[in-house]
Amino acid sequence: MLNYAFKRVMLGILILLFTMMVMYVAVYLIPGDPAAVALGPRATPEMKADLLARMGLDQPIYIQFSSFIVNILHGDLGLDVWSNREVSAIISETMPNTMILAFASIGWALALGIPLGCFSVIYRNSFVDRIIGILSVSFIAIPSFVVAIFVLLIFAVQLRWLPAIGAGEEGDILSQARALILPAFAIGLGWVGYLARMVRASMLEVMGEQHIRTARAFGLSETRVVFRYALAISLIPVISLIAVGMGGIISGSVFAEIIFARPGIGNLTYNAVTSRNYPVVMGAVMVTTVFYVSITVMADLLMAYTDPRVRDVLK
Amino acid sequence: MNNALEINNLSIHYQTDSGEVRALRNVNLKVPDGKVVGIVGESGCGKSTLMSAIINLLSENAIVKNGKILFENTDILTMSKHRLRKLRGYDIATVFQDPMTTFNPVMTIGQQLTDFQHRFKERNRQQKRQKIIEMFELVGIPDPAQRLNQFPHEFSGGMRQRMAIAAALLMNPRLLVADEPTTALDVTMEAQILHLLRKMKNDFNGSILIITHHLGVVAELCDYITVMYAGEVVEQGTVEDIFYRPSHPYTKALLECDPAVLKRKTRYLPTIKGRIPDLRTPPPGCVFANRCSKVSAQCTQTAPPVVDLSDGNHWCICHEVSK
Repeated sequence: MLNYAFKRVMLGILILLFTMMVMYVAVYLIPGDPAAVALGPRATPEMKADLLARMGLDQPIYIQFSSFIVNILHGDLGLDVWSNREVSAIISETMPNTMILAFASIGWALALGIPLGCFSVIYRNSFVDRIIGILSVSFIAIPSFVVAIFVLLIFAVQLRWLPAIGAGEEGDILSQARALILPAFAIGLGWVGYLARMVRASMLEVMGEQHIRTARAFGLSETRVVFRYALAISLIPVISLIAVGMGGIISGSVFAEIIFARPGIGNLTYNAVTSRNYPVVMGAVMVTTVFYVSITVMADLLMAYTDPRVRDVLK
Repeated sequence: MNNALEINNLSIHYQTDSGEVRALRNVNLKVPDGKVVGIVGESGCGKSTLMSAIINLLSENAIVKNGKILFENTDILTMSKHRLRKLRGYDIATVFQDPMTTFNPVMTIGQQLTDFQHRFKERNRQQKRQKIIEMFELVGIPDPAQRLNQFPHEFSGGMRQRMAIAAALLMNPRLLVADEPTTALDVTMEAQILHLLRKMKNDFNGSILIITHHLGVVAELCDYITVMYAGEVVEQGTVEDIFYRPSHPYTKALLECDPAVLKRKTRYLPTIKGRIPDLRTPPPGCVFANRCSKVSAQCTQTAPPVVDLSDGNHWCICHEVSK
């Protein structure tokens, strides 16, 4: 198991390095002169050259990249082009907001989606199953930014029950929680449907297996069979789905953060890209990639742990 | 004598895309208290459908056309969900065919067998585990206390089969239904399990319904034998009736195919030529007509009559025997 964990972590680091390289080349290839954007049309060539030299952009790309990686290893993500603040400081301020949003979104989606999937199986092909099916597919079909705009209009603007913008007062947990409700709802809604469908499909397959018949033949109730005997096995493929979906959740949070004017990594990246603030873009992408890669590694380990057959093979 | 189980005129069809498969047709069967009844027949003759019907766990595409399965004078097929849950695993315990898939792969054996004893409210967790350990010793699982915390894949097929039998015996049921309980075992283990089943019959006055291909098992263990072919019971009688006085041509052919009775050296094991008819459109006459060595014109046209050979205890359905 330890050996396996080590391999997975190493692979994660490789993925990370590769992503950074792709990102670096992509940023490099973006047309437009960052100095011209930064200094405006009336900047003199000397001012531009000076800025490029300060940002290290006059070096060849491989030197830029290797010094970038070396700096990262020293915990230095560079300086914000506009405010001259440390990028690492900016990110450590904003990242927690995004992580809270991501976990809150997937959390409530799991808490609702998994039981819905289970109930679909218990009452399969009945009225209840159909209703859950219709709702799930509708939830999946509505884009999260549309949900975000509508809940914003209804619950924040019309009814004034919840705040429309921001992440709540600092240090006030209640206010932060209230600010979290609408964006988390918007991002998680599609996931409720997605998870309900996935759990249902995966569980129906498990329910056809012989050991389920054994459990029933010993008089265990259908609820117990579903929740205790089938659920753990059905969730194994769902774990990897969630891990992959975390990428989608993070991109969903870009919309949600812009719509709800929430400080967060999505909002930060969006603003940095539009203002060609490359150090911030690179830093933000790196942090989200680290987040995503560590989630996938954890999911792999969790899957191996859930299934004792896999666990033994990996010993 | 009272019957632990009584099956009357049971017909079960399966709904499939290519038509209705008539898997069981007018099956009659009695399992008297304290007796062992064996069901023999080749693959696809409806043995496993019958077994699923007895605990009302038929697959969703099965339709019960007519008939009753009586347990304590109540029809299992129309039992309330609540009563069924008490029936399964408490009144009737089952051992399924394939030991490799019979247990949940992500739960330990101990967890599962403790769970299965949920009807025994008077036993606490520790007592339930103690019962499992005792039963495992009885069926020959070494180190039972340690092995309770292992997962099914850590046991061999034979061990899993023995654990499945142990699980059923833990219930101390009135009726034990076993589908090929010794197929996965080696000969020594098979003998031990047969001994165990006989002991269960004697000690607990339980009845056993055993489904098998293995004629040796039947001869060892059973009091009565039911021979099934293509979804019908073709002959029924005591173990002596069937082994010493077989009447139906299929029963005779089946006994001749048993490698144990071969007297001369052969290059090929004997088989019954031909195949089971398509059960979507069973023939109007005798189901065995197309493979029978004594077939006459009558056999292919009209259904054979029930021939009573000894006061209703031994009977078969055959035109040839009725003559």
